[in-house]
Amino acid sequence: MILRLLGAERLKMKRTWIIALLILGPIGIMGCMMINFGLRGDYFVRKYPDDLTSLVMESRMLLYLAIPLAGTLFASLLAGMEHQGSTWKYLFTLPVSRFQIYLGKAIPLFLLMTICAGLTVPALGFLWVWADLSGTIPWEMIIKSVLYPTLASLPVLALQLYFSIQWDNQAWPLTIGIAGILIAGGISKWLPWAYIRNVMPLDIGGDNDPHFWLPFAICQGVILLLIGATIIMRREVR
Amino acid sequence: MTKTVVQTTQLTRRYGKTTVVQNVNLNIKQGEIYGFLGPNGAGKTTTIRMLLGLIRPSEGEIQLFGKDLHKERKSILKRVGSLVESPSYYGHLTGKENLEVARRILGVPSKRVDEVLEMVRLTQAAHKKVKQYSLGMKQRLGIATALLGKPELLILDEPTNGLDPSGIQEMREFIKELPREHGMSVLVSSHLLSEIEQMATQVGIIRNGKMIFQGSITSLQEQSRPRMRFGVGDANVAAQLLASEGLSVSVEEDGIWTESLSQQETAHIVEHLVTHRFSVYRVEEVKQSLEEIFLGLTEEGETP
Repeated sequence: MILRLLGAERLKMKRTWIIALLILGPIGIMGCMMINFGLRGDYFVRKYPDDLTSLVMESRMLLYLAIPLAGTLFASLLAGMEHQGSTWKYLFTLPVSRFQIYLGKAIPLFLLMTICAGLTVPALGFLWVWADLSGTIPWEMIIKSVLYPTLASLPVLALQLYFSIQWDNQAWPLTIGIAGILIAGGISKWLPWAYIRNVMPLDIGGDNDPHFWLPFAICQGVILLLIGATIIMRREVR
Repeated sequence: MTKTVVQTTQLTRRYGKTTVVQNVNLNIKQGEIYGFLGPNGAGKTTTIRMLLGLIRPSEGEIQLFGKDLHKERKSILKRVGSLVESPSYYGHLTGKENLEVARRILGVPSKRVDEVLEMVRLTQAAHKKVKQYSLGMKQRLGIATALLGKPELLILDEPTNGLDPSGIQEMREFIKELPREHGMSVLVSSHLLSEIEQMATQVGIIRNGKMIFQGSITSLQEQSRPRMRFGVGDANVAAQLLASEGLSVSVEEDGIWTESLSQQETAHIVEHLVTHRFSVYRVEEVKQSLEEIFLGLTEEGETP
């Protein structure tokens, strides 16, 4: 059943911004990093102990913004198209459980984020060569510094998905998403937006700890997803 | 005995303190076109949403195909197609793609998409984006989507809302054919009696959340007592005469009206008038139109 829902979801993405965003995201990250290293490369040599640290630390800044932003936009696009054509009421009269319909949105959201991450890895690999950083491309470290924050964004994804489904005006979930990115991480390391930074595999004098934060974030993500699904399942459809 | 497709018992729905639907006992038999009538805001859509499990009843039970909706939601909804209020669609997809989305979820064979497109005559526009469709076309696409899973029961909430007269007629003809050609039962709601009258076999009339009539169209017509009209010269004086005889009459522009009369009573009045030298040029029995009955039923007891 869930495969059938995913098949339907795939077709709905046709002619939407979702596919464009999927490609533009990683390209954008690469572009920013190229400018960053092109302009400030010499400074990084003095600032960081080695090239690997400079790559991870500089991409951390960007991923910290880009991952939750992508999640916010994807969630809003996935839920928004149902609000737009008032198709929620139709979906809920189909012989499918509401929980499955919710998962039918959550799984594509997670897959989109994973694909984005998957494309960002070679983009950073390319940057390593382009910026003429020393040694062979540190694939393991690059994968970790992209994959960990993506997994750690699960709680943010769960929240954004819930808000986007709950409200038909997508201005609200977008506001929350952006406010979260800009403010929440600075307030407390315990807020979901901060987890993305907490799980980085490298840090200088920071309190990153992927061994603790990664499982913590994943568990919290799953719990938030279930809570969101439960609320939507009980909700009456107008 | 024909099977009951929809049966609600004492169905009630409250929003806060207001009761929107109150003790409604809906009964729809297989193969019927059931017209669900009522003025706007009478509780039609709320009832239909409860039938589809979109909202929960405050009290009462819903049985579809003899099964409890609450307990066997999925297996029941597999046999139901619906169109609730405004049509649901993905504007950025073509008509055919919209149906394909629904087809993938329902798991019906691909050729069914072309079949339903043909049924609602959208084959020509199948590859146009739905946001370019007219309202009538969107409505037809909604019906096509509802028909996709070959439902045994089709629930249509105000399907002709916003359609032009030819669209309304087309929709009506289309709905009328469904039980005959596909063995479906249809529940169709409307606030216009004239519309229901021309397609429904059974009607349920709801007002202020209460079911005030349920039965066949013919039994609805029997609800009205015919009146007698006497075309008489000098009607005012004639009416005074009849009133002095103890008859309850009223004078209207086109003559004297009385409640229905037996043959003897009629003869008596005519004789009376003639002997008093009034010219009687017309005596007729007038039946109320369904529209009048409907208005009478829905306005009765309504607080101004």
